[in-house]
Amino acid sequence: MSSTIVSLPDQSTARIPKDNYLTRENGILSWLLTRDHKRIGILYLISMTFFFFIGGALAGLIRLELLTPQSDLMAADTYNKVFTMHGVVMIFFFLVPSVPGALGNFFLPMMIGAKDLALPKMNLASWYLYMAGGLLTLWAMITGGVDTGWTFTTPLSTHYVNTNVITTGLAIFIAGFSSIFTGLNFIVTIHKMRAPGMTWFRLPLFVWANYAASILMVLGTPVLAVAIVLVALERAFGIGVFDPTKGGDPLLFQHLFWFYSHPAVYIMILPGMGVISEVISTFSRKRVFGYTAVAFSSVAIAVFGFFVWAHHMFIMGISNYAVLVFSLLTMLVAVPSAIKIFNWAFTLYKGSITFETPMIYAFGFMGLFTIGGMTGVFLGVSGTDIHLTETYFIVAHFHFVMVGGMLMAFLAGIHFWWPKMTGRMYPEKISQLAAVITFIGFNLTFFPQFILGTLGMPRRYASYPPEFQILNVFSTAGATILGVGYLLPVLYLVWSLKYGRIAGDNPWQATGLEWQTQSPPLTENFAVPPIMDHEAYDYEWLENQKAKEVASVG
Amino acid sequence: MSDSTAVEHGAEAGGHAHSEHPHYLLHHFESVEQQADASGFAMWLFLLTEVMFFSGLFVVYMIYRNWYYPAFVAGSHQLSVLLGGVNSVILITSSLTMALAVWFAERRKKNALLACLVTTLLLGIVFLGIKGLEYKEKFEKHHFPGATFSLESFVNPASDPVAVAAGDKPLPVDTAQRTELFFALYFAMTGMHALHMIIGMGLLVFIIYRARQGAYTTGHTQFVEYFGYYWHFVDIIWIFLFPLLYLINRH
Amino acid sequence: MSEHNESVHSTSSPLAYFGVYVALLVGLGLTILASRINLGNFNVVVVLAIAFVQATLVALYSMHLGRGSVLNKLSVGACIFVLLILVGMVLLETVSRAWGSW
Repeated sequence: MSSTIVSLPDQSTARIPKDNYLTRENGILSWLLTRDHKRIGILYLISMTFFFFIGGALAGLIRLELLTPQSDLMAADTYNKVFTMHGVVMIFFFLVPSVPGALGNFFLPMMIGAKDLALPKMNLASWYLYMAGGLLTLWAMITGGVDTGWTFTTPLSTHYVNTNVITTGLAIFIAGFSSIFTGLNFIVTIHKMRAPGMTWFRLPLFVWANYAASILMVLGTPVLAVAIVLVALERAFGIGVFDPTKGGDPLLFQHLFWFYSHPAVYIMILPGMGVISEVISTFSRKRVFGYTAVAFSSVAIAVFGFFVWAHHMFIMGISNYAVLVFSLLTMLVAVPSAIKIFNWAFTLYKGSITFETPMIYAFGFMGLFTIGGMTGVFLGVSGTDIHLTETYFIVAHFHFVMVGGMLMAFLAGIHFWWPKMTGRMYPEKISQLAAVITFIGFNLTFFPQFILGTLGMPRRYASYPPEFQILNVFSTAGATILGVGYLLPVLYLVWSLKYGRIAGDNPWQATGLEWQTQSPPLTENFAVPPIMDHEAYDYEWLENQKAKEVASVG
Repeated sequence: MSDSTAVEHGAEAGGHAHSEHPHYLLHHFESVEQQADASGFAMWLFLLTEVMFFSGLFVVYMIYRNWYYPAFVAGSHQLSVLLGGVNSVILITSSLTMALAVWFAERRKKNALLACLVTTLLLGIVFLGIKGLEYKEKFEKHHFPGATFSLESFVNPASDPVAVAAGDKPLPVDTAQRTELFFALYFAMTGMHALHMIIGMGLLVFIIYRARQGAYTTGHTQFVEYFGYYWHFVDIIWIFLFPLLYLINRH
Repeated sequence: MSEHNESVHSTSSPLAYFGVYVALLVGLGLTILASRINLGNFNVVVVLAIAFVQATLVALYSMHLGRGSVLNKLSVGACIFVLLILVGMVLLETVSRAWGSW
């Protein structure tokens, strides 16, 4: 196989440092009442993995049903509940909190040289709110489910279904506050707690990406909250605000809902893009090309992301003039994302590329996100959207960006920072295999769905015309492979906690302040508060450091 | 835990021999200034989320007022400008007493601080009392949206002294039905506002309790100050709500 | 550090608070008066303008935004911007529905 940059300490003498954030305190309460951002990150990681597999099981049920054209595995109403819960769980309890909750919480303070986030108690509250929302969602699922689609479109959700809309809405409301608190914490931390010398343009791009996502979390999520409140009031009291018979406008709900939910997709993807910046730089041993462009493009995505929400409503009855305006604006929002892809590609150019697992995921991201993003542009063109919306083309589009993009970025990040979080390396060969399996499974699952969409198969239908079956069978087969690809990391990562090789401080020879301390880190992150005296991704500085360093661990 | 957020460090002062810092400086901050800076900024960000939350309701209001103006006029005439105006004065005054409370806290005048806090709380209670009276009247006249909503005051204004006093003309039935939307917004917006006030007053009780113990007159006034911001924010929301709900076409 | 330092105060002076108080009451009176005059569509604009001025005064003085860092002011500005996008573009859409097909 090709070369690797992995540099581990001598395994016969290496030990996990005795004093670290995991060993500093013991007992269940020291975890449940912790203010340590690293422990909270681990709490998030464990809980979101749990919710991911619930959402994944629901996805499995969907794909099983769609093996055959008839609605034979479950009743159509049940199928509606399954895809609704799949969406709700995956979006609100996995994708939105994934990188910020698990990796952002853990590494943001370390990357800027701080001891913790600005508001540690709020951070813990954030996790508890997440858990409360998640458990309430599970409760709603068990006691009857919701069948409106994760989009809660009115007047279906307000007038025509008799399922747990209010409960699920409340759960999402609570989870929304979790998100707001996390974003708020990040913004304050990044502005106010950077170490001496850590100027804005020396920050890792991961920080910029989370900053942009946090702005969206803070300013966008409350609008979702009020949309949910209004749906609840409509259901409970019949106030008429979304009821055409009382003069209400169902589209108004969609305006409020998508005003958040479109920025939400950027909340989901931006932190993933931050991970990709870090991974691509490290595994091509090169600073990110066009740092400023990538940094500003994160903020640009956040800003433009607020302008385009009605492209989810092209066929819903909005005015033609609005369609025109939002379609044009949607073209704009693709530009900063494309800028990032270009910059990552130019980072790779003439870099010393190695193919450790995080890099495999990153390559997967670049290809799949590009496809997903481009199909987003196709959908932004209102003329094509009219034919493709509410078909499997949309489903394929968002799964390409969210699963092929965001989930791959998340896995890249988990693998990249696993040695730092745990002090252990995961087994390289099996992890590379899992990454490749995921890539293959993903393409087999979702590429046929683009074709299905263009052929006209509607989304959210339990049954379909028989001529679509073969593509659905491919898709389900791919889903099985994908499931294996996602299960493997859980298995080998847990295995590595006991049997993985000792990682040492900086197994990837990465720049970044988090790599200049022990693995796992001290509770206070740095024994001596760092002073930042070099640019981001400065591999020469790293060379100088290594030359001065005495190599010993333990 | 060296980075725990314990506020009182009294007995452990020996552990901080390396630097003199106030007991309220949390350990992940480098200085009191940084902590104050960060906390103030965080409070503003939180209030901005509240602004966005209410803005959704204002959007709904705007659309429906635009579409159903006559109905909104008739609905608005059912609200008492006197009671709303009195409430506005009460809330604005409570904002003043709250601001003064913070001022006294910074100057370590505990009794004056307490007086201002208690006054603020009392004014809040009066506000909610008047609001309760208004709500009760609306319930009695069957103006609460839902199954019990009555169109009588709008299709037949002569039956309603308030409508007569406002000079309302009878509305056709379908327009009259739109008043339910007005009242839905009235209850949603003032209800949400009242909820924020109730939460605020709960916190205020806690603050009064702690202020009696001298917590805010020893130099660390952040909590009272930021609560003051929250209270002013609630006031600002009312400043927008009052004209938009109570003063539609009063000429 | 333990002796309180006059220059560290972030509060405005009581004069400013009373000034804002009076301004708010005056604004309230003006708003009620304005609603009694028939200005047609302009009524809403006037009352919103008065409310906006009142809100600005409260923010700047009672909430110490004026004495705070630029960051706080910028953040409020960013929020207002996003709010205007929400309000403006939703209004744009609903109003333009009546304009028909082209």
